[in-house]
Amino acid sequence: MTLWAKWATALVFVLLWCPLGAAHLPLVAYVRGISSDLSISLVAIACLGMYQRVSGVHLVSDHERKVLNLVFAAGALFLYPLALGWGDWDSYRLGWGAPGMWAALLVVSLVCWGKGLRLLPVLIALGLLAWAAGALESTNLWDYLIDPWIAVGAIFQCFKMVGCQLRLRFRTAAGGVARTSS
Amino acid sequence: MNFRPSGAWDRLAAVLLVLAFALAGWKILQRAPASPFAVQPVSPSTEALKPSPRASLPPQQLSPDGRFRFDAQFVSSSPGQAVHAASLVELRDGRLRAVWFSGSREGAGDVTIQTSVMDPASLRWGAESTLFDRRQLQQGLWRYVKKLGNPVIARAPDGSLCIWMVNVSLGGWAGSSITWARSTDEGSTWSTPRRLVMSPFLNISTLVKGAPVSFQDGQIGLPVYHEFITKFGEMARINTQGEVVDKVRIPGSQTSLQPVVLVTGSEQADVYMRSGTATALMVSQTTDAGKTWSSTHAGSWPNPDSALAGVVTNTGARWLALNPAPRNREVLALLHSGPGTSFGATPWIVESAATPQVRTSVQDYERLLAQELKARGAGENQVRAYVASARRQLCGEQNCSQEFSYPYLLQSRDGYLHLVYTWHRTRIKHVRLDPLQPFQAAQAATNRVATP
Repeated sequence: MTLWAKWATALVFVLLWCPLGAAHLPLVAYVRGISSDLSISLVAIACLGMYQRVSGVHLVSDHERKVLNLVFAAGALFLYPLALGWGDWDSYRLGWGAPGMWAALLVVSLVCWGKGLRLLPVLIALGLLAWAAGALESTNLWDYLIDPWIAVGAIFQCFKMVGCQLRLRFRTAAGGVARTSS
Repeated sequence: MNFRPSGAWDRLAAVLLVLAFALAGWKILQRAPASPFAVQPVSPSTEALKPSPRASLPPQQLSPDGRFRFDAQFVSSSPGQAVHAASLVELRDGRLRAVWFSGSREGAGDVTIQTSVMDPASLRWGAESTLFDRRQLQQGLWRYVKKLGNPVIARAPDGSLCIWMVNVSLGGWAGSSITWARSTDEGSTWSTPRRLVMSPFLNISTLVKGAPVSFQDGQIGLPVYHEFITKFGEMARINTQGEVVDKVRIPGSQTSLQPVVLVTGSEQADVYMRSGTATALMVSQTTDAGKTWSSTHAGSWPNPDSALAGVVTNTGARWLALNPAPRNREVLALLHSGPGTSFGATPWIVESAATPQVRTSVQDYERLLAQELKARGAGENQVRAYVASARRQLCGEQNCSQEFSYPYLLQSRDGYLHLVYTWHRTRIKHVRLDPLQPFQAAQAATNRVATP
């Protein structure tokens, strides 16, 4: 990070807390009105990303990041369509203390742990702890684990992954054809 | 620190994981099972009503079809404002408190939640005052609020008053969320507003219109509805701290909205909904205190995509207030059903345009409104401002549609039925009637409404 970028970041941070308008709300409160509260997972990932950027230490492996994107994308595809009215069954309802959701999270955490992945179980653990403590305005566990911003990011990364795979296969196949024809 | 498996990090992560699942599991086990509905005891009809003396009150008004009598007066008193979505609660001393939204137009940034109190002895509504405005909500919620909408006020099982308000930060009404506040002094002061989180997608698109119901464990059942992408009705369960603890979707309610719940037993209730496609009144039932609902079906009454209200009285009778005409809001009526019976075929018409099928010319519309406003004590300038507001909202170049809409029903402890509704979008009107009065035979044939 250059010195200029550091100063710009600091300035943006200060501006975000300056009161504006008749209600004397800081800019961050206006952003919050539109973005809604961020999930614990997104906050943790953002903190991790900032730490990596500042320290230059690479903490998360590519494999771990791919699994994270896949799980968040799958979670988003399960949660949002059903919660927003696709059919009569509401997936969001599970977040108000359904034992099935607790069990599913335990299975995901144990499977990841068994595969040597640590980031996803830690994110789930942080979400569960915050939910048990009632840290956010929401009383629904889903809001601690996932939010639309992380969902969009994960789905985008998954598409990117699939695109890369297809491009690689296409190049391999094209390379094979070229070698055969030469 | 490294996220790859290693001794110290692994141990820390494992402890965190075990602790998190143990605490979350404990929280889940602490959840109380869903409680049955709280049902008011049913009194015999002869003892239910104790009418107060009418000596000092103005004479009662005859309904448009001449079948019953009622008292009527205006609630709101700000000329020139667009007013809508009133609700009502009885205070401990027998007075009534109404709340509604008011502003330069529906959805404008200057819309506020207004309130007024009625003295039951004189049936006079006091001067209106502002309960919540956008700035208060923004400061309380510590987030941007673009506009305010429907307020619903009710008494919680713990005796406090609660108000739930629709508010929008982003987009139109489909971007709504619900904010609530509590008052322990009958509505004089209110707690800091708090948001109810009911949707995972930026908490948008949950709205409220219908009256809440109570459960035996002190929780509240709040009928809410969703409007983003598709519409559907839901029943949220709210604990004594005002937090959402569960929410049940009413199956097959896609295209339905604004549920109204009528509790008929500790496990039984019916829900009636506005049809978003203007077809018919939509209906669903529960027989397990709202844990599950039957698939939504069309009822026998038409619904012109307009809100309704309902109440179960202390005699066990059920009342609905709605617009019974299939295509407009020019007739407002009550439907009555005795305990265990279905709603009768003849509505109790409270308001009706003289010719509901034909739009009124602007001149006639202005004359009609001015006539009633003057009869109820409005001065010339006030009449002009009220009529201008109604005209702005309900008239085209040449003609206007009359509107009596967004009803809310309540039975007070003295047995009277109270109906508040939007009168031409310019005033909130209050009607008080004795629900046990005889419903007279038709004096003149009326074809103002469709019969089921």
